[in-house]
Amino acid sequence: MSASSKTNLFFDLLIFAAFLAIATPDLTGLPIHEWLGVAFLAALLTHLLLHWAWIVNVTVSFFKKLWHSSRLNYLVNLIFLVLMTGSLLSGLMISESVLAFLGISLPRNEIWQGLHRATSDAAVLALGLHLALHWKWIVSNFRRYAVQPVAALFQRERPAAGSIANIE
Amino acid sequence: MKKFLKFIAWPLLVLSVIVALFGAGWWWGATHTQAFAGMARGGGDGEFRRPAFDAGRQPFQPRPEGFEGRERGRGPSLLRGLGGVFGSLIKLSVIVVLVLLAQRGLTWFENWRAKRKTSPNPPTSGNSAPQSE
Repeated sequence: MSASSKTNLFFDLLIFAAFLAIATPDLTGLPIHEWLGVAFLAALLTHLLLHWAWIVNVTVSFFKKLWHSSRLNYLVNLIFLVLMTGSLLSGLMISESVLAFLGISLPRNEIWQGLHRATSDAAVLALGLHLALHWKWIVSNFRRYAVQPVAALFQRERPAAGSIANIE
Repeated sequence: MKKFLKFIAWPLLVLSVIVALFGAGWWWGATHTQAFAGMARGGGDGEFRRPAFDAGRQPFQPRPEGFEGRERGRGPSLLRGLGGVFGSLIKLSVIVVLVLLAQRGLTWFENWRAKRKTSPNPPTSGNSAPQSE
């Protein structure tokens, strides 16, 4: 599936906002934090599906060239995926609302809590790297699809002085 | 149908397998270490006991401080939440700035090395051609 840059940008901004909300349970409270985590899993899968062509291309050509920047991207993304999977899974294992909704009751386990905390903190770092490696793409597309349309809107609303004089 | 299989079904299957493998790994790690802790406890002399493993084996215990206390002891708060979001944004910004600076430094270094390679004997500024007076 190959989506347009516009779709990718707005979906990524949405995921980023969701990530910030999930990374701060104080903001939402624990039940919403847990359900947001479940929704985030679906969003993560969609994000991967939207970039599936890139994933396949780099996976195929990973060992062909000695070095290329996509390889670094790929490794960072893979680490990020591992950390997010670990964080979401361990979060599910210690959740109260989601498991209760599903009728599952698990004993409290410090290992899952430790894993959840460690992987969540590491995921923030991995997200920083992920953003930095895609910074050019983010800035150019944000300028193209968010800044320029808004700027054009303001320019259109302000008619030229000469045109008003001609109408009168 | 072919497109659906290629771009939706197949990727979903691969991703599910990857996620399942990761999940199984985490699960195995947690259960294995628990079993290991149980064996260690049964050993008798108790020379080395990791507190986290032992804590995981106790079903009923008072709510610990730290992770649990931080998240479950308090309800949601807009002020604390926005503070947390702001903190995350600062962390992310610092990482992005550091990586971009590192990238710029690497580019500068590569350009500098390429320049040195292309001009093995660069002319020194003081030894220009003699000018007639």
